[in-house]
Amino acid sequence: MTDETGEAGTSAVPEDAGTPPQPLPDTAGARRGESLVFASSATWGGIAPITLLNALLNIVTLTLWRFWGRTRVRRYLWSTTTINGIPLEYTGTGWELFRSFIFVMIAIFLPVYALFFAGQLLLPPEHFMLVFGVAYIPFLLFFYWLLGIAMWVARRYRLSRTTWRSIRLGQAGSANGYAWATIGYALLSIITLGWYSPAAEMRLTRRLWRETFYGDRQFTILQEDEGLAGPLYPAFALAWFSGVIGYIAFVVVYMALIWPDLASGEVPATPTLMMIVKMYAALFVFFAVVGLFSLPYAAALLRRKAEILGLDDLDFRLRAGFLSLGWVYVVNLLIIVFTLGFGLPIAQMRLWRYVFNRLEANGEIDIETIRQNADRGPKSGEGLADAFDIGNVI
Amino acid sequence: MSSDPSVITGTFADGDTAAIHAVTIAVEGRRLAITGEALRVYWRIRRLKRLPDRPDGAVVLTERGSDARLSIEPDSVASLRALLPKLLDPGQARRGTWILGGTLTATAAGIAGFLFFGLPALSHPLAHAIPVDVEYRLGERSNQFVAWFTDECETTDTAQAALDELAGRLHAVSDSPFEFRPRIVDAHFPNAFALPGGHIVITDELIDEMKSPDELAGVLAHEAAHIAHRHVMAAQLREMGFGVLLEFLIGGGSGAGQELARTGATLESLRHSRGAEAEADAYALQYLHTADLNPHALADFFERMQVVFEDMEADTEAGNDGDDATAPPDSGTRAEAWLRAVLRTHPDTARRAARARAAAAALDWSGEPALEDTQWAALDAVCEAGVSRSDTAVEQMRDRIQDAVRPAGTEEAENGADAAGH
Repeated sequence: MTDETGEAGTSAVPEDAGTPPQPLPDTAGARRGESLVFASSATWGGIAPITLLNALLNIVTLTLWRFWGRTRVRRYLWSTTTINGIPLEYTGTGWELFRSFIFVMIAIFLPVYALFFAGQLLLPPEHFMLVFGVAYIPFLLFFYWLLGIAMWVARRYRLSRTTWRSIRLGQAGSANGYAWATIGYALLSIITLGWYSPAAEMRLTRRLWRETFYGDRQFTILQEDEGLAGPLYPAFALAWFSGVIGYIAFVVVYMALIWPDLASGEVPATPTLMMIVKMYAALFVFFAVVGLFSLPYAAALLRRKAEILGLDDLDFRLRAGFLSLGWVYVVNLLIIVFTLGFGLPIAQMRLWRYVFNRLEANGEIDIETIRQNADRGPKSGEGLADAFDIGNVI
Repeated sequence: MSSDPSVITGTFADGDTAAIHAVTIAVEGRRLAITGEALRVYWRIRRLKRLPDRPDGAVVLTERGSDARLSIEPDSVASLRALLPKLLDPGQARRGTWILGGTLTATAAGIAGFLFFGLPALSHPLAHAIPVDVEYRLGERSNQFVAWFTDECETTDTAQAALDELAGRLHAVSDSPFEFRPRIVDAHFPNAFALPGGHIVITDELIDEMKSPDELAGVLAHEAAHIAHRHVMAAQLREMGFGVLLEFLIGGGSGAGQELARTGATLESLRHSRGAEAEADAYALQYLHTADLNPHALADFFERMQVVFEDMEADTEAGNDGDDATAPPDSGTRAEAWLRAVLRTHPDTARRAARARAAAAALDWSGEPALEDTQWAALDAVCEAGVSRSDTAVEQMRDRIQDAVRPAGTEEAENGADAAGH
């Protein structure tokens, strides 16, 4: 019935594919470079109906809608984001996300669950704790490895479903290598009391972006090893010391708040309601202080990630300042809290808009010579990320 | 039949290069002809696919499997719609949403239906199908967990023998595949519970609440019924099935919707444990009667516990008023206390007492007490003599966890019981 062998011409065949473009009124040079101008026209008015529909459908479908809902949010954000006036397109589907999730549940979640249950039944009780203890570290390692895989695979999926001028982005490289790198860097960060984490963050960014493609063009890293994260350290130091000072402040405020209780000599065995409230108040002060002083680092990280990137003769710049970014974060937090989480797409929209309205490219690229990326990407995506609850990112 | 007079224009991205072409569009027979400068592409109309519209209203078309995109500006859409009425039907996207949303809602309802009705209905036959030695192993494991979090009471041989004697009498009249293995642990709350495989754990607080060995026999009979009818196994199967299916439904998510679903699941499992309690009460009376133990003791004990629970609630409520009084540590514990009140104690214990009282009225009993006075005295002294230490390595962890899971108001109950009992 499908009549597959119909007439020819079912695919795009430019008539004279071999000849160069028509000599239009243009400089006669071989390359016609242009720069890139990024913009996002996403609005509350555009995202609110999607958010509302997603919230309702997530409730009545007991969250099964989430795959399609996430797809709609992305489709909106991508389609309102333009480069030189031409919008991005998100080509992923909810079905792909759903299929991937089901696959991961059956292929990974069920066996792990079965293993646990079998262990409970088959291991002799007196050795159970021993086996449990011995198996704990490898299992934890496996878990974190899987988490790294999930992040990488999800990124590959999202890039492969992002097109501009019908040309896909793509991620090459090794998920396994990335996963081990996340584990190694995490350990280094712990050993150095966090001081390695800016370097870790930048190295992971580099690892991802130098294997990122737009069509047949590969992104380059303009700054190699030396000084990759160097410019981040002043801001990081501020954040780190604010963490220490914030902790001291927390203790001081907390002690001051509960001092009357302590002075009266009546310390109840279980904390009283007012003590709880006071502890939360002190905790709030702690997070407010640390949050405020971490903003310069967050903004510096965004700027640095953009400025190490290159594509052909282009380099990038992101005008992120800590006050403007802080405003985005604070309002986003309020949105999420006051909508009980259902407002997440609005928060995502605000951050997305922030990035694309402040992203700039310098230099030129000959866009028309870019050819399609041969890698179509995975057939489905993000199931692992969804299982780890890191799937709902943009 | 081709060539519409009005020119329809759009832009075409060919999917092979990043070039974008200005094109005119026409329908030629069964094909869509896309013509631009140095470009002519035919797409078969039956293979056309409409992608979601752009926010500015532009319609985007592609051919199935192709990377190319044809965008038609909003002003040209009307004229193309005349040519491709079915494809450009404005209601199509909305219908798609309804169909998808409906299908997913039906799927979710199906899964929820299975969770709420299918799984509970299956859990009892399944529990009986679990081989006895498998349940026994599970029971050993559960018992180990209990042992970590509680201190074993130093139980004299007389006391343990008295417990075992009662358990043996009950086992003889039940058709339990497992021996009953009761023991007393040191805990801050009055409770008794059965584990898979025949373990019965009684807290010393509960023994303190008891006025006679007959009441102990009643409580043991109740837990014995849970074991004989494999309620614990069924509950574990239910929770396991629930866990797996719930994860399948909501994933690892922590979003608002996911939390709602989890709360529903928790309430559901509580509902079923109440059904099992009623069944165990009925069987307990039967065991008591057959073993010639006091069938009224169960009702006596429930009535007393009802008073204890009411006191606990009153204390909890009073505690919330004052600043310095002991209040529940956080909202989670407070919610738990509320659930406890609503789902287990307040209306339920009274109803259970009344039901047990009514059922016991028809049962005769020789009047012989369950245990000798000396045996009962030995049991009553359990835990007062001393507590045998659990592994000291886990002691701190245990205390921390115990503090975390200790229900609200037990502190007062403990004090109250101490004051009343001694």
